[in-house]
Amino acid sequence: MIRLPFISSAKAAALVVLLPLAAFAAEKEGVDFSKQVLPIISAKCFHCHGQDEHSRKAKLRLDVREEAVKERKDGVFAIRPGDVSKSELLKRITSTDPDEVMPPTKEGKKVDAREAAVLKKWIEQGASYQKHWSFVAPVRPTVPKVKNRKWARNDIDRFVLARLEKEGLKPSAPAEKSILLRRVSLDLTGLPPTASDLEAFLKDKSTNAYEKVVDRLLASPRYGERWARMWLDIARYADSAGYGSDPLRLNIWPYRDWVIKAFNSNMRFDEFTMEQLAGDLMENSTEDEKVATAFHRNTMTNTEGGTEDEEWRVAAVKDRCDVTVQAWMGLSMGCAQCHTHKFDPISQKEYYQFFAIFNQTADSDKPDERPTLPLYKPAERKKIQEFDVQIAAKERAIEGATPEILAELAKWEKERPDSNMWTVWEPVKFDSDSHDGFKKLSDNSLLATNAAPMKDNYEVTYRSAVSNVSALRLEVLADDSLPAKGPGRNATGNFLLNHFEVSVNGKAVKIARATATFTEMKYSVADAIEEGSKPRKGWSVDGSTNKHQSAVFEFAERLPVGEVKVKLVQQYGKKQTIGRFRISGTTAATPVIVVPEKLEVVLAISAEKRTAEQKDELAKWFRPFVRSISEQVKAIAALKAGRDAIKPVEVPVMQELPTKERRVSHVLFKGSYLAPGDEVSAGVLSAFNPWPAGAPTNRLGAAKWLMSPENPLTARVIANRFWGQIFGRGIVETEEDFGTQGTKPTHPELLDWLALDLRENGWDIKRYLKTLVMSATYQQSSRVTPELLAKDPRNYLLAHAPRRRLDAEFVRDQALALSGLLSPKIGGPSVYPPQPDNLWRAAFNGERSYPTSTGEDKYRRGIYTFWRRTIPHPSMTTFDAPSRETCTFRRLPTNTPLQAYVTLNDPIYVEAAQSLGRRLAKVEAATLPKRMEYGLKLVLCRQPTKREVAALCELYESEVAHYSKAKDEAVKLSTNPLGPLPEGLSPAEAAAWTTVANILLNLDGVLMKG
Amino acid sequence: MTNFDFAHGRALTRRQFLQRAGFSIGSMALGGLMARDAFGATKSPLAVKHPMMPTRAKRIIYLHMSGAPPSLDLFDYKPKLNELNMQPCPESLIAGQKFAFIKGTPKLLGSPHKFAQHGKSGGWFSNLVPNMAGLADEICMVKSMWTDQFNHSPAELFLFTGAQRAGNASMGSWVTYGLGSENQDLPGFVVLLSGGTDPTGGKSLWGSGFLPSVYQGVQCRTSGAPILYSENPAGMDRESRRRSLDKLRELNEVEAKLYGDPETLTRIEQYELAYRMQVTVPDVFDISKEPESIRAMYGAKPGEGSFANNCLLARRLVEKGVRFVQLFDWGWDMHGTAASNDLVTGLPMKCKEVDQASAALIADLKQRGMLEDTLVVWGGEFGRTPMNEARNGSTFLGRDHHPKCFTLWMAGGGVKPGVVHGATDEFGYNIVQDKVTVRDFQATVLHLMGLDPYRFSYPYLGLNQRLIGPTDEGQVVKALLA
Repeated sequence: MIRLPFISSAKAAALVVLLPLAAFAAEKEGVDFSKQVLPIISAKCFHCHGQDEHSRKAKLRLDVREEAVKERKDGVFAIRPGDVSKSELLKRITSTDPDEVMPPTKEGKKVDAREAAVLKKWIEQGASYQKHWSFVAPVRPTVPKVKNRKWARNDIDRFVLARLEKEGLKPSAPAEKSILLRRVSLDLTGLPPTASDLEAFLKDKSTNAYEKVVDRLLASPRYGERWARMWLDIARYADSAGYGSDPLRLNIWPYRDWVIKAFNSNMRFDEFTMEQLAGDLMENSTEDEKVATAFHRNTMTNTEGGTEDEEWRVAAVKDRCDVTVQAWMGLSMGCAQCHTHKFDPISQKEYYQFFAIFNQTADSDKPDERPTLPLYKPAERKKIQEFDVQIAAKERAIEGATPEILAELAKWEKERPDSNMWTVWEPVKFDSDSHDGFKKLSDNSLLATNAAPMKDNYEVTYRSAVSNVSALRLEVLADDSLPAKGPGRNATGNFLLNHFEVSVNGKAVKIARATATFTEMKYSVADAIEEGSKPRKGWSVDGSTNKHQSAVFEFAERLPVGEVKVKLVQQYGKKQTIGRFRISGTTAATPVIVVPEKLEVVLAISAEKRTAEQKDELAKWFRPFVRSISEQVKAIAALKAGRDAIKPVEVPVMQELPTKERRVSHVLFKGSYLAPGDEVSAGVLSAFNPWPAGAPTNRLGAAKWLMSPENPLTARVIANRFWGQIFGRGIVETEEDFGTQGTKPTHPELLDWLALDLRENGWDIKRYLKTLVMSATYQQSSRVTPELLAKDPRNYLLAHAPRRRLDAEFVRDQALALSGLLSPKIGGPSVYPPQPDNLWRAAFNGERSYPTSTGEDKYRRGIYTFWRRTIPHPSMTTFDAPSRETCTFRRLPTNTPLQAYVTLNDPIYVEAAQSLGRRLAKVEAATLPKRMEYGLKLVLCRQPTKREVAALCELYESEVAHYSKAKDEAVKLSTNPLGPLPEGLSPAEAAAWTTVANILLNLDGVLMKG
Repeated sequence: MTNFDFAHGRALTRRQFLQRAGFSIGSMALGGLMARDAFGATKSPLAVKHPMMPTRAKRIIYLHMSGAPPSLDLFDYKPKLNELNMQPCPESLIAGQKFAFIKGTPKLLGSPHKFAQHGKSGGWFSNLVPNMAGLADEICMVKSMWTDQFNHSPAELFLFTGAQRAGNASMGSWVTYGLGSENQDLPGFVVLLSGGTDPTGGKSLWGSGFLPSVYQGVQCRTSGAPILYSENPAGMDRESRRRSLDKLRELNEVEAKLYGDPETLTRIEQYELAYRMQVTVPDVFDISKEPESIRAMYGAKPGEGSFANNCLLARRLVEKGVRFVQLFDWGWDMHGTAASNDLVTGLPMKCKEVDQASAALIADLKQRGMLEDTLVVWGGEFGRTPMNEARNGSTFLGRDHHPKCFTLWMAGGGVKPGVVHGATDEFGYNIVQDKVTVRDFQATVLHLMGLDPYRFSYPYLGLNQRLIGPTDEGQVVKALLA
């Protein structure tokens, strides 16, 4: 039944009569609880009389039989099995008294006459309860017998035909061969057949010609791109983080490529599941398996100023739970985050038990998306190895305590300037971002006195009266007033100096070298003088805090006299700033270096008494400063720089927290992260199969639980989803909802047969798809007869093949393919096909420049188009592509004038028309009608009618005539943006061909898959 | 029959087909079916639908000041706050509170602007909004708005879609879905932006979420073609487009005959509508067609992407039957981190950009007799603190985000004029009277449009989704209704 808004129920009743579909019949037989009764009571009653005790009214539960049939007070029963007159429920739903009627008028859920009749019959028959159909594991159904023995090609057809025969309908004739080729090409690869594909297929008269085509398409690399299109909506894959400034997420595309590769290599679906949900937890997990976990890093990140990371981290974890259960089990759990699910058997506690499984990853809504996995291309990896080999060879040559090094070290030791070489400078001005108070001590050091800010930048001004300063020394000093005596301001007395900048008289000076008495492992004081400051790099002294340390910065050129400003950048956060410090200058000869504290001891030993190890240690340290090998040292540095310049893509991945950092999960009151309730431990939903024996209590275990043969839903949901893509609609139409509120399957036995066929044959998707497209059901004509339209206007019974609009991506891909512009390039960073100017205007200085792609990247398949969540490419959204802010299971195709604008006028479609036009102008054909015939056949894959050919010829003639008189317009229409015309084609002809091709690409038959 | 139920776009277009086929291709075999068609009114997804309840408001113009204007400097007069200017904020107010940027104990901040009472109703307005002040007796001021979101993007999403996370249907989509639109040659839900930046919540603020995408807002540009891609390719004139569309129709009619798919006829119609809109849309957007006096009234200047132009366009659009016109004006985030966003320089600048036009819109609608059935809303996504933000010691005066109270006003269709509803405490920190939550506000707007906020729903993911969310906590604020 199709419901209409705001029409009287009398009219609605008339509709039911008009649609003699058996889908809702069967009332003469026994009432089926899960198919007929449950949908009514769950939609109309469970809201107040279901399992959620908080919203339960009158202490009445109708979801459990024992409760529903209980005597409530003297002789009053909500339901009295077999006794309609004693069943209060029936009285109340049919009552006309506004104070009596149930559900209350305010709810707007009136039980209609048909529904009341079902409930009445059900109570008469004893009011038996059963589990909702999809919560009972599928069992292999008997394949039905059919009268027409010839039609069926496989068991799918027997199920479909049996149902058609029951309704007195016949399947449609097979589709024309060429039409079928277009259909199956679009379905399996998302692209239309080429002219030569069509020719070859029409010529092939062998009995398995079609099967050969199917095998070819399944093996095509285009197959993976087409199916990734479906999966990426579910994965809510996008190239930006969402919200506010919607920062670009330029590092997530390897996940998209992983999906394409997984489909192309026909990865088993259980494997596909496991890797995405828990690839990082698999034994000896590979790089690919870790990339797969970016599936759940496609959640949004909120980088707006002043947001609480924890709030949005929790939101992301909830999203992961919801998407997981929805994608694999077709259940929406979202509402259980605030209260126990009113319709499906998911309690609030269970929600947070499931949440606890996903609540253990290291990501926490950080703008840099950490943790990430550095990913190198194979060629880059090779290059790095080459660098490493060369570096090792060069290092070996100067390794150890060579005589040259020891000689220079001895010389340096002899001349080693003492500490008197430093002159402490007096600060004349101090400034900091936090406006924190610093006081100047008598030794000219500056000491912090206020509450420590999270981050800070200091700027200190000095007057230098000496003309040839060669280096500055930064002393960071311990002080009793600092936490753990400092010298830093975090709890352990540490700091992280990201950048040390010096300017003289307003001009920045170059620092050539930085050394320090001590640097924390994995940090380097040299990073503090690298170009550009990075908040996670620089000089840190963790491991040797609570005492004085110093770093020396040697200039490339000596400083002139004047005002010297020293800037200390400390942006790591967590109060990692310097608490007390001072600056000294020197004019000593270079190299001016500071000796690491651990080597001071060694240096104190006289040279001849040092052990070989001590000599090695000193040599290793001193090597960079040795003049005689400076060329080699430089060469090594250059090689290292070359190696480090190869930057990996840092893919956001799921990474489990180490045991000691694991989070404790709680029920969150009303879903709020600020209102934790009872503590919960990880668990799966109890109404379904138990946690698989021996599976770990983590994401990997959850993945196994989903894919377990005992799980009643997964196989059905997955089988149904692929079916929906091929047949235009799932057997369960609400592909995203298999719960009690979802639609019922049109062919329940077929669905079970398919689910088991998929699961028991190794989750082999290509095999499964082949089964679908090899069926006679699939190969029917899409022609609709008035009889069928009257009997089954929505084609639930599959008496003909569906006719459905192409998805946004395929509309684009097809136009590019037919015009010969399409790039076959697979994978890589997302591309930026042209779009109107100034569309990127995100808030808070979000990225605004759209780096329009040129060359081949302009013509890539739609799946590679850059997907910015707050403003996806307009041609895509006009054709119903989602924003990917949340996951999407079904795109509902619409048909609007704005779509006509895209395919008529978007420059890429104009360019496609120009290209296709030129192609048609070039075709070897004797006459104009033959050319038109060629064009129509190319785009429609069928023999055109005479009228169609004639119409296009007329259009061509009228436009040649028009553009012969409008030369400038002709040039514009035929060359902008494709470029100059080939020789021998006049602008008027080319413009007319462009017009014709523009119409060809806008034909209904082209925009539809039929 | 209380829920809308056409998750299935196809069902609709088939009905459309059944409707139309009778006259457009009556000769086809399918024509025979028409006689048996009992379907009633629905013609296109945007065809006018009757409201669920009798109502006055037929259309909405929503003026949203993205970034949240400081009510304490515009409408909510607090002499006590002026008295205590730059005194430390009482600990009782801020104990345990989270702010986006304020740290430590902030100082109270009086308004640097003068207030006065206006009209018979005696509503307070600051001297930054003299034109709005002139409307004191026309508008209904709600001083007790409350939200639970205090970051821009989530707060705007919550206000316009009922959920702080992106992906739900927007208010404009709901209303167009419920009521259709009166002009089939224009989009039913139009979005106009000013201020140089998209609102923080992004395109989702006018997205259709789970509703069919035909109900998503159509963002129209004020320079160039108003609708993306609506201009013919360079070199193709309107006559040439006509000739090619005639042939396209011929070809598609052949397709319709061959396959009998009603969708084909819908497509023919959509291309024809696109062709008509190429004229109707630029025509509506051409404000040079307005008399000079009207343009002056708004402060509109042809060619600019200004708020003033958008207000005038909004009036032109609703006059033509557009159901919902949504304006977003960016730049109201008055933190006081620079002169451009402080209360002394930045705020007066923004007020100058919107005050005259906002008031002109009301006056213009009134003089055309359209105010009584057009609902106009003016407001932001949350409030701003009575304390000076002073981020990093900034010396510019500004206010941080504050969800606990803010002011918005409504006028026209079904709203009581000259009313001040609700009140805040003497600091303008908490609501002390007649709290109106975002959910209440959403319920009230739907109610004003004749849509029952509780019953007006769409089935998705196993729930009857509603603008006001899953619970019935949102209440229609009867006191605001005329």
